Amino acid sequence: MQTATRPIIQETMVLLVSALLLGTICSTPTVVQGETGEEYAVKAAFVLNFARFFQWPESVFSSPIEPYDLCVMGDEAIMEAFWTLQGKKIRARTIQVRRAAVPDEVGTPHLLFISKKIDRPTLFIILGKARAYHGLTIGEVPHFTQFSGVINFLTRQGRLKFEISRRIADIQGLIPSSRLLKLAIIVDEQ
Amino acid sequence: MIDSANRRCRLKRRFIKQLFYLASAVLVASGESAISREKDFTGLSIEELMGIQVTSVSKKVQNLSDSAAAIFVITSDDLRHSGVTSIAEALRMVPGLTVARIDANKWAVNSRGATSRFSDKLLVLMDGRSVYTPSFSGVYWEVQDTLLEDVERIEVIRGPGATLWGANAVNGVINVITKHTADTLGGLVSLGGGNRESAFANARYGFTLGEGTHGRCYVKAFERDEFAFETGEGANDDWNMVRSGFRMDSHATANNSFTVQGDIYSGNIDQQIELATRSVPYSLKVDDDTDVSGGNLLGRWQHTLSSTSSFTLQVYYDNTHRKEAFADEKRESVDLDFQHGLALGKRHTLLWGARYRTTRDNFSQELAAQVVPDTRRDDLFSLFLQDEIMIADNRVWLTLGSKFEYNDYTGFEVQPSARILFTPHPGHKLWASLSRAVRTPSRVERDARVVNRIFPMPPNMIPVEVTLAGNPDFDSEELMAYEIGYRFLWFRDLSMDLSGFYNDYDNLRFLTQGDLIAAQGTLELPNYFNNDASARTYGGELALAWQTTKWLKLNLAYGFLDSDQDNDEQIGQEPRHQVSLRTAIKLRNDLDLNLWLRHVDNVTVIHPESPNGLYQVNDYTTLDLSLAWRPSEAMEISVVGQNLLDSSHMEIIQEYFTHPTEVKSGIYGKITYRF
Repeated sequence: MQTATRPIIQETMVLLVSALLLGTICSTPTVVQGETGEEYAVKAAFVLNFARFFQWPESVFSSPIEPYDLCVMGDEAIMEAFWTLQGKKIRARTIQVRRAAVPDEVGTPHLLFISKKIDRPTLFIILGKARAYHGLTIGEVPHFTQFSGVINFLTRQGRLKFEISRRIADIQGLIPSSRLLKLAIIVDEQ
Repeated sequence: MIDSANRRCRLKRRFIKQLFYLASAVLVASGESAISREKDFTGLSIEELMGIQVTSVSKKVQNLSDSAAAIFVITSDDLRHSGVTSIAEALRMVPGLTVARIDANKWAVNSRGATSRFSDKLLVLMDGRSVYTPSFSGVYWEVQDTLLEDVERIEVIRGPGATLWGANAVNGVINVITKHTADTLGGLVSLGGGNRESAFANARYGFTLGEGTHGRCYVKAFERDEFAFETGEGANDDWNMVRSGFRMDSHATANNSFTVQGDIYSGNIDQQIELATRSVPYSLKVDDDTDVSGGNLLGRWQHTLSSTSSFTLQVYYDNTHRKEAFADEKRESVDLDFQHGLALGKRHTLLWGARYRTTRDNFSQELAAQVVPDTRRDDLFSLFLQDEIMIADNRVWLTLGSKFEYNDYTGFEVQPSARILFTPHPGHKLWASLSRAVRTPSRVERDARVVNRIFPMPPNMIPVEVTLAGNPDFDSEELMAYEIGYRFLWFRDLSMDLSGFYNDYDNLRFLTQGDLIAAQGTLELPNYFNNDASARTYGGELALAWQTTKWLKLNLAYGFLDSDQDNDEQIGQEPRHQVSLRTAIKLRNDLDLNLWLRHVDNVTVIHPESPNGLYQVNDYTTLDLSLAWRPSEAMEISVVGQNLLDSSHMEIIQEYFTHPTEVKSGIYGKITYRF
């Protein structure tokens, strides 16, 4: 009984697979370009814009063409997204991307992206040091700005939003443009 | 004979036909060469970026771990691409693990050693909850499940992890970690079916409860069809299960985070078993319908004390019930665990913890198995301390630690380990370790009497019961493990993980035949458990992950395993070579094709029914294939074929009760909708 029905099921399945394959191949991709994106590819693009719309104290650059030093603490998938920023130009400066696996490798970057996988104690250490070198710290965990981070990513209805702490930016000597502030969620009014 | 040859011929033809369809489809698809590139958003303005719907994709290239242990991570992408429908099946990706399916609803899993239904040296955790059963120190894999779409990763450590995890973490630790609820917002519904996966349905909904507080609920149900005995006859091992659960995470304040989660399940697991009887014919085929059910509730609190110190407090309750023809077992456990990590100066990272666990069981008394006393409560207390010392600045780390455990069976156990990690260059990591672990006695080894078979002994034809008899003096099994490993990362696209080990086991379980005992009209021939065996196993594993191009990723896993046993008549022979090759092809942005080829060497299994007590299972090669198409961002349609290279093959057999059963090929379709 069962041996008789099984080939039929299998044949049907094979036909289904083939039909599905042919169907997909003949159809055009229906994923609309420009509307969806891999999270970190989009976050990296945001970070490029943050570099564009923040102003650092003159003292942190030795020359008008000194590159932005962007340090990323994250896993391979995150790095893959951020490498696309390598060499991108913002006015006269280019962006130099590098990865820090441990806090000691962070150094004194202009921009620092910290993945949500980084544990709390490490996060405290890194953020504590960022004050000394005017680092624009960017995170993606709740309460990031309360831990003295400058910008924090949030997801709302599947879209990215960002919080800015004006107080922390002020302490770090960083000046956000008004265009950026208009789009941001300001977590502390001055 | 002719019939089966004909059948095989027909099946071969059918397979060739299937391959032809797929191959031609692939050719057509690649001819179109609509292979996509990752989108570049760097040209967009912030306003535009804020309008983009983001999707979270997990790690594409396996991360180089910093742990001085043989660790392998199965990501949520790996799970999705492979088309597996259970946790045990997913573990076939891991080099060095031996995963064999006994029948439609039973698995045998072990790490770096011969496997069996009753493999007893693995620690398996689901979100921090230990799921091995103290009854026989093994895992009922068929009841360990969750919504696979919500699994963040499965971490597998081959080799001892006893210093951190405690007893039973002898051959390995498997940690199933589900996603944080902030990552599973929105709805998901998936439905499907096929010839082996008769029908299944999953649903999950994730929601935001407030600032920093998220939750989700899920329901999962399936019906799976039977496999077949060697004769081709149905094995009557179909099964079904319903499961539901929830999780809630909250970052209540900056320094505190809370997690509460729980699951309940219930299922009917069919099996055909052979049970001994005291009168003619002394053995009966029983079509058994095993009822399983259980539930758990877990709470976890993480608190940050300062920038260099934080602790975690976890408590859970777990309840299981299993009623089969030869045993009715209930178990309740409560587990309380505290861990505190702190940095001391620049060089020391200290981790210490304490744990209390209590478990109470209750067994029915059947002819096939008696457990005396029928109920027992066991307590376990443990403490561990581990120090990670940076010896050379960001180059060399030494980790020293030990677990001190007190249990009701063997008293005090010490399980120390020493590990060293050397990073000559960020892309290269070398490690070595030395550790001791013990596997404490299980309830069955101490207190049970299992009747394997009954035969009439001439001349008076008095029935003789051949039993496995618990031994109150049965002691812990011990392992000294020596391991080395090397990992490297070639740019971002190629990573390799190599490991080697030598395991020296002592006080291993052995069975010694006792004298005939006369009891109430029968005779008993007991086989006592004792610790008279020892064995040494050695081998190595290779894991290679290679993103060759944007659209092609290869994952190769190879494991070599050999052993030298003093009493090999009571320990099966492990598969010497095992290979798994996964190929993930992104045909188009919305179209994925995945092929998974596996080869497992022949094994020898203990089987008291065979004349020499052993059963030889041949090597096999098999292929899984899955094709997934996303017509829109919300919908995915996939077709998965499993074990396609033959109509059925045998992987392993269970030592007692069940008959040799073959794993059948299967195909299923699935529709997933997210909203």
